Amino acid sequence: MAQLFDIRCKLDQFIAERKLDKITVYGDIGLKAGFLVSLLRGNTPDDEAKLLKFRKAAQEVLHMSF
Amino acid sequence: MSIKGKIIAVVAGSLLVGVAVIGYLFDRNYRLQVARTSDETLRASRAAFENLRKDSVDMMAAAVEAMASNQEINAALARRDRAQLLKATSRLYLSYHEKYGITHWFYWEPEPSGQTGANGLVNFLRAATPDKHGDMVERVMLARVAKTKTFANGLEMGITGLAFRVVAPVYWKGKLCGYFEIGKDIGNFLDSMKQQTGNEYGLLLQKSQMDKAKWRSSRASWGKRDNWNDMNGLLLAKNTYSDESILTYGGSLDKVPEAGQELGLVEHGAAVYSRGVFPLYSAGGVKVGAVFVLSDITAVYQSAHQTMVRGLLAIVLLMALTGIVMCVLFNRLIVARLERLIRVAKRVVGGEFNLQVVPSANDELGKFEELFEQFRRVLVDLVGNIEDEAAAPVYRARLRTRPRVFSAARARRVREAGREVSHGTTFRHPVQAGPVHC
Repeated sequence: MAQLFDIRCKLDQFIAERKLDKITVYGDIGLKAGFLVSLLRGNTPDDEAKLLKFRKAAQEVLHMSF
Repeated sequence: MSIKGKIIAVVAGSLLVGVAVIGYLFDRNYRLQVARTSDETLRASRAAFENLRKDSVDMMAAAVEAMASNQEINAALARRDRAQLLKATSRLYLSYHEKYGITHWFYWEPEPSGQTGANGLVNFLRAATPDKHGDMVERVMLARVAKTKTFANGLEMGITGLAFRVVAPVYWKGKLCGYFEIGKDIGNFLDSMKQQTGNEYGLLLQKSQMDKAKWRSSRASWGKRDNWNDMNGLLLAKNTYSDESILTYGGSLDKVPEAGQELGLVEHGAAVYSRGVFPLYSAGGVKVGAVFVLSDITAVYQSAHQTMVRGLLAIVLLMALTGIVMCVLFNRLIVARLERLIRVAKRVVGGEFNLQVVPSANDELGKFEELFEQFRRVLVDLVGNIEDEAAAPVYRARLRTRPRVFSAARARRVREAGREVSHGTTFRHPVQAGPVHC
């Protein structure tokens, strides 16, 4: 439970550490993954397909595994 | 490859092709101009030659007519008194030689009585070389005048060159006593032609019409180099230009048309010359030689070349400028607006839902921007609904605990506020990506 939200949190931390533009990074990843990252909450139900797409998109955009 | 890259490639390719085509046209025009100049030079030289020929023949015909009525000369010829004939004519010959360039002053014996169809005549006197006489000379004009007994003129080959000649029968007391011939070496024409036209000339003769040994002997006596082997079938008999090497023609005279033939350009030092030849026909209609025309076209050549280079540069600059303007316009009208839309799309998806797209122009892309803005509003509305759905259990729980605060009417107002915002121009959506506590 909350794996998607967990990845979002790691992503936020990564963005904050590198002082990246959060909106642009969310946009790039969201467009690649096919959903809105900003809407992920703690109660967002996990979905294997979404998790896979999320990780893959983040990897492609930031060259970083989450 | 991006559209921008493709467009730049197409524009650059078009520029290159355009420059190549225009360069080809300029080059063609330049060559035509040079060829036209060469052609005009050849035509002018031919006309000058023809005028000189006509003037010379007229002058010689008049001289022959005057001599025909000279009783002293005619009587000496009739008596076969060579010494008296020489005495009577040598002063006249020298005068004509100096004034008019007459090089041939001959008297011929009449053919033996009863003989017809002779191919030539026996020489009685040569004013320039009185010791040389009594030889039989076979020439078309001599045969013609012997046959017709009337005035004949034309170009004919001698031992060492071509000459325009006029031959007429001479009568004494109504009886034919011989023939009188005067002629002008064609080599002398070249200097006159040079004075008239400013071009340089060379006289080419067919070797087949010449005697090799006599030619070499003549050249040696003139103190000139033996040039018999310089060309294959032709011989440079006379020229007005200092350098003989430029006046060579490797082709065959048989292939040269009557109007003449251009031989192209040749660079000699800093000068550029156009070359050409036109043929010479003997009185018998045989192609016996040609006049080589050398015209200094350096000024025309440089002018045409400069025009071509400047024109090409101007076209290249103009086309490059056009290409740059096209690229800038394309970038401003299409590429920059598309990139802006892409940025907005990313930011909207990234959570900046209130980033509005205002159509930048009333054109095709402006319509697309408008469509994109409508699409954004639909997305925002959809997101608002999803958030409302997510928030509903919370509202219901709060209604159960605090029914007076979170009334159904308030819940409706909240939803309506969300919808209002999603359709509004000023975006204040509650689901805008905000801080999330991880």
